[in-house]
Amino acid sequence: MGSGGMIVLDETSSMVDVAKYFMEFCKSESCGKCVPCRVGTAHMYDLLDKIGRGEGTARDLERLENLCDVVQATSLCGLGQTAPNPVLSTLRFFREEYESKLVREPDSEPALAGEASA
Amino acid sequence: MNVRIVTLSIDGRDVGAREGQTILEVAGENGIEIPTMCNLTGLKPIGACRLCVVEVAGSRKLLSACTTGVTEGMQVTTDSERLRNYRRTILEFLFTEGNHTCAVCVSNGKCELQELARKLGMNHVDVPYRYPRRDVDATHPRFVLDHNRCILCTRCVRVCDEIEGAHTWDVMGRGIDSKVITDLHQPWGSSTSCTSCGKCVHVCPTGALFEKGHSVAEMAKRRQFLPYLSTMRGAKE
Repeated sequence: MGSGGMIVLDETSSMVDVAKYFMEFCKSESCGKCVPCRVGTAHMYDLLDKIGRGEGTARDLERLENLCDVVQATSLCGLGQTAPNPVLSTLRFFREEYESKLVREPDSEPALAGEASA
Repeated sequence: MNVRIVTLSIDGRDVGAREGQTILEVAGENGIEIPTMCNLTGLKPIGACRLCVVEVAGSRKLLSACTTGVTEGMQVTTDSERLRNYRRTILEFLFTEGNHTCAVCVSNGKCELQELARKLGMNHVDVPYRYPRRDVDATHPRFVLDHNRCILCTRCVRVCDEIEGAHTWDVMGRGIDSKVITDLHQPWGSSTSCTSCGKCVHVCPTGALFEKGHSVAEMAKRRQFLPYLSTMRGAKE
């Protein structure tokens, strides 16, 4: 990330956690001057954390993708403009890993509320 | 003094401008409104809030209108579905980052953030509220700083440095943890550089800085002094 180095991972690494790791880096490196990078990286980190814990919904994944777009397009400098890249790449190549961690939206099916919250 | 004139197109309208003007200034002169937050006439533009981003033909990136100078033949788009979505999300970022409880705010109804949300049609937020724990500094005899309502536009920092010349304000920390401070993070009341001029209070777009003695919705900011001071500064430079 940023250094041109190569990172080797085996199939036991969760790609959501990988993206979260890089987002943690961007969040702590953000200088805080522009709004999309300062707040966007923090929100993206929280969403990745939520999905990684197995508490994210399809709506959260949609939110995450929207935030990637906003932060990439509107950030002031290269840090914010490239911060969403690890999320976008892992989503492009390992989308099923994200999707396998999603849970059903609690409100979408009230009849099955007990099942969804379990 | 010779002034070179450039012509450009904003939202399909051909407009003339003086060289050295920004897109935001030219758009404003021609009645085209671009949403802004960190920008304030009289203070140096910093392009930090990103609400004024516009599309410029030939540029892959979006450019902030407040910091981008006009050039001959430039084609600018200030309003599109894409830009509206971006601006809305950025505004949601500002609302979710701090604790903006309008109902108990001194600036309720007189707040630039609230006004912009109304203008851009932001009636709910899609990203979760962060509810950070933030302090209030009421040590100054006349003014209060409420970090909960601060959006880090740094208008206070700039007015104190550029206009008053005291540079009492600055930004501490980085990223989501950054905040404005007085002196070297000392209580405002014990600041030795502060002249208590109150300019920071009146340029603050929200209720983050306010005068003591005001209750909910009573703090109207007075900005009449700014053009006067910046004209004086311009004459001196």
